[in-house]
Amino acid sequence: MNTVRWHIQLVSEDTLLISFVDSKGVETADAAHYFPELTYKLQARFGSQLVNIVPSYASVMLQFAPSYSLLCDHMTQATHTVDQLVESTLATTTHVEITRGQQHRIPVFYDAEVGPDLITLAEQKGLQPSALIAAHCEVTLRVFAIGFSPGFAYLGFLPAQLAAPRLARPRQHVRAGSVGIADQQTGIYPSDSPGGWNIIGRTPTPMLTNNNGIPRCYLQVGDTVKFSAISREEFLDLGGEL
Amino acid sequence: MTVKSRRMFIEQSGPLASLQDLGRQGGQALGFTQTGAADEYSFLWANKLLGNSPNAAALEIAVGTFRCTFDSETFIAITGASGRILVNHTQYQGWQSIHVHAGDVLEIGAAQSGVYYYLAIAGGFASNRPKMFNSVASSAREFNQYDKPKELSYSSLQTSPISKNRYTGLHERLVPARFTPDFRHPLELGFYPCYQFNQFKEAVQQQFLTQSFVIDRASNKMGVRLNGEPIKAPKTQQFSEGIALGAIQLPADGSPIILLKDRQTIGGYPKIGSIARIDTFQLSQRRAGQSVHFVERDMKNAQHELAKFYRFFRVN
Repeated sequence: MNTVRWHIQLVSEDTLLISFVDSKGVETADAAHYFPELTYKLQARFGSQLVNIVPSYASVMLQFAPSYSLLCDHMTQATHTVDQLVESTLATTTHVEITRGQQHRIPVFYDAEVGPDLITLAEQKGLQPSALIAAHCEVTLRVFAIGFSPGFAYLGFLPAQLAAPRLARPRQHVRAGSVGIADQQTGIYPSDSPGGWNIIGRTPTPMLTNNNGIPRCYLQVGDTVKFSAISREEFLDLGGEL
Repeated sequence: MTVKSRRMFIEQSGPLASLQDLGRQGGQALGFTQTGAADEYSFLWANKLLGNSPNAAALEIAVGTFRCTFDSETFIAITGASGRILVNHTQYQGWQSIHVHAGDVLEIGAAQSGVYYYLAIAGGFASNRPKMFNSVASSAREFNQYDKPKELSYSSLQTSPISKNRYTGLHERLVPARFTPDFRHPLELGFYPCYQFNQFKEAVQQQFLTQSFVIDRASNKMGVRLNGEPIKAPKTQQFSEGIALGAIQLPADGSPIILLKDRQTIGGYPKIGSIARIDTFQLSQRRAGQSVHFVERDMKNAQHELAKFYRFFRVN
């Protein structure tokens, strides 16, 4: 039984926002596993008329091309069509469509050598580093949003035993591939950047690639992720950089 | 006849000079900011003056003196901010096309009013890197993505899409005075109540629409921060959500931030609504200390106005 409801509003001349709420009207990320299917349906229906589809936790923002959107009749029409697509997506029960999102296994070299906060965080949580690593590899996480910087994926939600506030003093340089924890979320830095997450390891898998000016993200909102611990040697074999 | 690319050498520019067009078409789902010309109105006029395609790449220039040399004859147009424009020490006005010749030196002084100049060239500038999401635009807030060019290529008049004949007498081709904006005026911003508007207290909604605000120094192409009596945001647990161009977010300190072309793709602060697209262009040209206020706008009306705007400039 599906208790997720939604409403759609114009947030700009050419932009719609679909928000998902639970039976009490409170925002919910419980529909996030439908986002890959919804994105697929929206693209199939609107094609190039839809310039941006931005899914994030409890919402999906849709920006239409000016030529399509700028007659208000079209936006009224679009709102109606989007409403029907959301309804049919949430009614979907077949396994194939719900799992249009991919399931990833991401190798991580968990070690103080590449994870400067691993030891401190384990101490803070009263865990052996090996227990913290095991717990981090145990959970299946969902990609709820991509933002902050290009390709930065927010994965949730971690059990309370792994949750940790951001660093009081963000680092100037966090290396690409770094795996971090902030609150009940974990994230992977796609490129070298400043950052305030607790870094516990590094993956050799590139999160953001650029093929002739077409950037691609390894992860999409709605995908699921499980981490697996690898050795220093495996990390290097897989192309990881220290 | 061999076709050689012509070059413009940039001898001096402030920290913010980059090629821009109408911005990226897509990419926000991957976390790439929209970017593109901050002030599309001025950008589009610069291209229109030269008969360019509306999306032709132009140089967006902010902060400090800009100086460059052309290695062959062409036409240029400078719009947007106002300040001193010199070609070989002869003064020109903005918002018109200017005939330049091989060896000519163009100098654009620091803006007297407004923030961004647009320097367009006949046929548009060529970018020396691949387009991203169908755009040459780059953003100062994206690490390693910002492109501050030293040298730019352009086509010769003979090979540009427009024939040389069309330029005869183009010195007189200028934007009518009634269409040239004065960025010194206080700005009224068309406001749409949306996003979390209904979660703000009614008295706060009223306060927001009646008081005027002053632009803070901590403003840039990502967002413009406003000072005034603080606007009390509702205390709601809020997931990050997509941010439209012109959305107004309210951090806990009560200073509204209106998000512009280089905004983050998602954000978790409560948003009281959005401003009309056309007004975001005007706003980006306002400086710290200038004042703005909000007036509620009818969305359908604004959609028609924006449609007219893009039709005028032949965008799509």
